[in-house]
Amino acid sequence: MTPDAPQRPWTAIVHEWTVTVDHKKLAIMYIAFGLGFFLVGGVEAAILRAQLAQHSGTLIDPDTFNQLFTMHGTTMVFLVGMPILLGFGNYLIPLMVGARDMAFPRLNAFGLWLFVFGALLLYYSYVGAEGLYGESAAPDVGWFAYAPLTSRTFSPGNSTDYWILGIMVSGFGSITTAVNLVATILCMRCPGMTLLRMPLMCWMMLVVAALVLVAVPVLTAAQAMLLLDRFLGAHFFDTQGGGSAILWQHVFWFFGHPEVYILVLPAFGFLNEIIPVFSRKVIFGYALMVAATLAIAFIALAVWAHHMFVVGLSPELNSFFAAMTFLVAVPTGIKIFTWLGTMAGGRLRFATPMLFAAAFIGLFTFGGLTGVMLAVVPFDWQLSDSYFVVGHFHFVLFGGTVFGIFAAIFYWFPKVTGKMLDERLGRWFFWLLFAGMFVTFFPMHISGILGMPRRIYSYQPGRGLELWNLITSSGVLLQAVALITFLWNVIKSLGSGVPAGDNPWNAWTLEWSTSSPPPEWNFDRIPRVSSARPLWDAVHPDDPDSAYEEGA
Amino acid sequence: MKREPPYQHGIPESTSAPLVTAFGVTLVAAGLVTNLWVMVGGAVIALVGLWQWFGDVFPGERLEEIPAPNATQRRWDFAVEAIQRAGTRGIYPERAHPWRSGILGGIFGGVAMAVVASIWGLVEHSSVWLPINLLAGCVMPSVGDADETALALFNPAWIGAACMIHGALSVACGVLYALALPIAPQRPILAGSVALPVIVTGLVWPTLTIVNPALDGFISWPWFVGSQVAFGVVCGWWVAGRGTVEAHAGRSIVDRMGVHRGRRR
Repeated sequence: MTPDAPQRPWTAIVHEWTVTVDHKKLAIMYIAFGLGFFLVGGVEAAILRAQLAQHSGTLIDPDTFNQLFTMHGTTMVFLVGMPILLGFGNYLIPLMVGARDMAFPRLNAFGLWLFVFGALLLYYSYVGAEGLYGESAAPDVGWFAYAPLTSRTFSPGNSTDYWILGIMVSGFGSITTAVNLVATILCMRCPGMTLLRMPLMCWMMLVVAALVLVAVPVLTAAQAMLLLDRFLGAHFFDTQGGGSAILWQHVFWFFGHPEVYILVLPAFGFLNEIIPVFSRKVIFGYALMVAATLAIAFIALAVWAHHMFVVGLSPELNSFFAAMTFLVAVPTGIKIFTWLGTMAGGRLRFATPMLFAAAFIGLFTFGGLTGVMLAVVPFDWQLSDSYFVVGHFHFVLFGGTVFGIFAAIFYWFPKVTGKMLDERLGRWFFWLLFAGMFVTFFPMHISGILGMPRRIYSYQPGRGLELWNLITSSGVLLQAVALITFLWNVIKSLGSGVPAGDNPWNAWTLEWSTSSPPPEWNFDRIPRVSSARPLWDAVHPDDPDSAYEEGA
Repeated sequence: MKREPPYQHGIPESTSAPLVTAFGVTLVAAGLVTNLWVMVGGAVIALVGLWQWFGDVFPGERLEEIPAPNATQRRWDFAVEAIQRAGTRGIYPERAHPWRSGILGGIFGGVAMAVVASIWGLVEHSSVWLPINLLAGCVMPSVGDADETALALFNPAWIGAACMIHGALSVACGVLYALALPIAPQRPILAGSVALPVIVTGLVWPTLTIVNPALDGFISWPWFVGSQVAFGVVCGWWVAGRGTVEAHAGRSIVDRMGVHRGRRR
């Protein structure tokens, strides 16, 4: 909008955004809602940590504690990770493949609103639900809602039903988005863009969408079974009625473990775009990266029971799932080495996106290694359901996914808004968040080894846990300051940020060939590409990548 | 047949239909934990949204024209070109076998399959009824409790059930043949008589203990494969011999229905 353009009433702006089917606006809403819930989930975590900062804490009562860790986990997985990552896919995929929109724009909007309304339904439980302890009871059964805790006997009222229905409605939204991503990537690529010329981000999102289509319906089906148990007296998960509580664990983790990769593969995709640009090199091993991603997806579907080593599976099953878990480290390691290989010998420029990407590599590798430790069955028997596990998955999901998300925000913010984020504030944000992350989550491994169970409301003094819990809780303060820095950066940059231009990073993929922000139709002309780096080809017609492609 | 890629000349018009539909669906879910009338209201809202959605895409998709390409060239515009051809990644057969030939092919193939199965019953169990009764075990648990003597006898209920199962599956497979043969490799009868029996046998082998334990106890796999081959040869021969008609898979439903497309904006 030019400075002379008349100011539109806010109602017109709200109307425009609520009826839009433009993939970019929908994506921005996905990410904005996700970041909003990130703050909500962060506040929940902060209260939990305040309760645990000292032994024998009484800041909140045990019932509230149960509700908070349930809502924190549920929020971070379903209302933060999924929407933000699918939002990035929504924004970037059509631009990266040279399309004017997603394959099914209305379905795209439908998916967004299902997510939003599903999230609101879940949080409405704070007002409308009844639970074990009376009215206004949020779900309190943990984010994986194990049976028989979810049965009517142990979870009266309807707080658990809100958990089921809210996630179910949001899950339908995720499924529609996945369908859209698959159709867009497979059917709407611009002329010349073969599968092996796609940006690696598109490959990651294609695999993520496939995993969503395989995994999320399983959770939805399990939730439908749980509803039947709770409303119609079925006995799927009722051991006394001939059902099986372990069945819930199987079906939940058949969804739950691929979900980890659903949350981290898009972050891999961000790194695949950012690291080459800030290393000024082509990605090292494109085909290897694609193959490793596909391998991860397949193996991820066969490791779910490593979450269940302590339920008493047979030694053969334990061995199988442990072996598969070790196996998944192989393609993941390939990715790590591929990024390092890309950086090696490059002209590295550590702008904020690259700082986050580099930190991702270290933090995710650390989280992955503790995951391999937990895949050793006897080790897992000792530390299952301890704070070691909490530390492990926070290194993976915070050090991995969240750092990847912030790398992406700093990288693509100029494209989305036309303004650069402030680099100095960005660096402050990075270092504060990095320090806060490490201070918060690293000591959890130690308190876990010392025997602190996860989800515990309080702990007794004299067991060596006080110091580690105090350090963990103090890390939250650092993270809070970091996030305030980030919010200030966004607000400041939106108002008075440096104009970004079309391609501020001198990148090579198609989204940087259009204006910042892009027009509603993305491209004035549908592009035609002849290599995986069309903008490199455009700027270097004397030495295009296409000249080096096989058969050129 | 040439087709325009989606959104080459326009972008979808804004609509509240997805929002309204999603809101209705959520209320249907919320009704389970609030009030039945919330559920009813949600269903009504969802239907209104769907109706509006239908109107947005039928008979023609509501599109907004996009401006002509800007005359100002970006520095990399030389790398992008207008599409020279209306390309499509969808590959559809231009001609297909009529589905009616598939129905008849399925019936004839089903008869051939039944003949082979009956021969097996006579040769190995001295009864033409036994294979038919065993098939009824898919839906009638009493078959599983019967001994071989009972299975060898004529039982109207079992035979009726078996005929319905066999008839429905044969017709369904025949229609699938008619649809699939044009995209199969060069020799349709070979594909039908070898490839499909292998696939079907592969599917049946691990699942038969669950689907039909009675049949699992008696089945002779060489004869089973033989009956599949008989179906494939007869059905494939019939369908392939009926000729082909123009396929419509590449045309939109609006074109196929002959509804005028005129809602572009």
